[in-house]
Amino acid sequence: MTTTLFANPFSEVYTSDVSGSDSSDIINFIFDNNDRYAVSNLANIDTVALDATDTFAYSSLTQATQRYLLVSVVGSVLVTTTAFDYDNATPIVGNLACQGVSAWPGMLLLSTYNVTSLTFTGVTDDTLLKIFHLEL
Amino acid sequence: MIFSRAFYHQYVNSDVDTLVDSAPTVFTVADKSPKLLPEGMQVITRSIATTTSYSVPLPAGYASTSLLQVIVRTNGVLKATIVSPDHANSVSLIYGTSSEAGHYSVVDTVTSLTLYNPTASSVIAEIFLVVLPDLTDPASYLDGEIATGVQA
Repeated sequence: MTTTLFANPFSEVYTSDVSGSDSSDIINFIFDNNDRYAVSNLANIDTVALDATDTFAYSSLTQATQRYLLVSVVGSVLVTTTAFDYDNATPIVGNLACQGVSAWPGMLLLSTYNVTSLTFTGVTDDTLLKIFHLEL
Repeated sequence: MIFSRAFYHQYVNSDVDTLVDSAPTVFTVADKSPKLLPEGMQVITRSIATTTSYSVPLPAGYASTSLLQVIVRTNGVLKATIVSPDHANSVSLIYGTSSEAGHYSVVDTVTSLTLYNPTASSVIAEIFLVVLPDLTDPASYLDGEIATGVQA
């Protein structure tokens, strides 16, 4: 599934100072259909709760596609990537750990390609993940 | 979604006469930040030549029993290898371009971090390392302003 995300307005919302003029800028961004660059391919937005050893996965991913993964973590999670090396043939495995608490959530970022699956495994009970997965 | 009694009466029971007011909710917004030690933060900008590796020096005094926030930005392709005492080695490709940085970020116990440039041209890596305190300990945070309000 591919949906669209108006990335620029979202970015404006998060980065701009709080003032009337900036708010109108955001509205302009949203309604300006010529802002083609403001649309990204967003494969998934998921909110996932995992207990320890529970898993959540994106599988059968297209190898050549570039991916951007942004995960906010409250609790502790291990993200396992199955992928291929720069030669496009040698298998490699990533074990990306991330943890945080509600006052300071962990942030996991990954710009990558050659990935065929992403598996999220809970390390502690009641781990909450907010996952943004973009196909670029 | 929270199904309060008021919500139930308003949208489910649908009898206006039975509406009840929910109790006011008092909320607070606390300005907190973790206590980060200057000696536990490290920023490195490094050009990595084609087909060479760079073993990233960890902050002085860092023990691999502590959590380390690792952030890497790059303008090319890098292969990142992290060795951690807590799980198997991690190997990932980071993809960036000259116009759009590639990002890589984990929070982990780290024994070593190596960046390898597999491409035919040199790339630049920006590396941020921050030793995190025990985030579950309230004493690990600096408290700032606390705002309170009431949602009627």
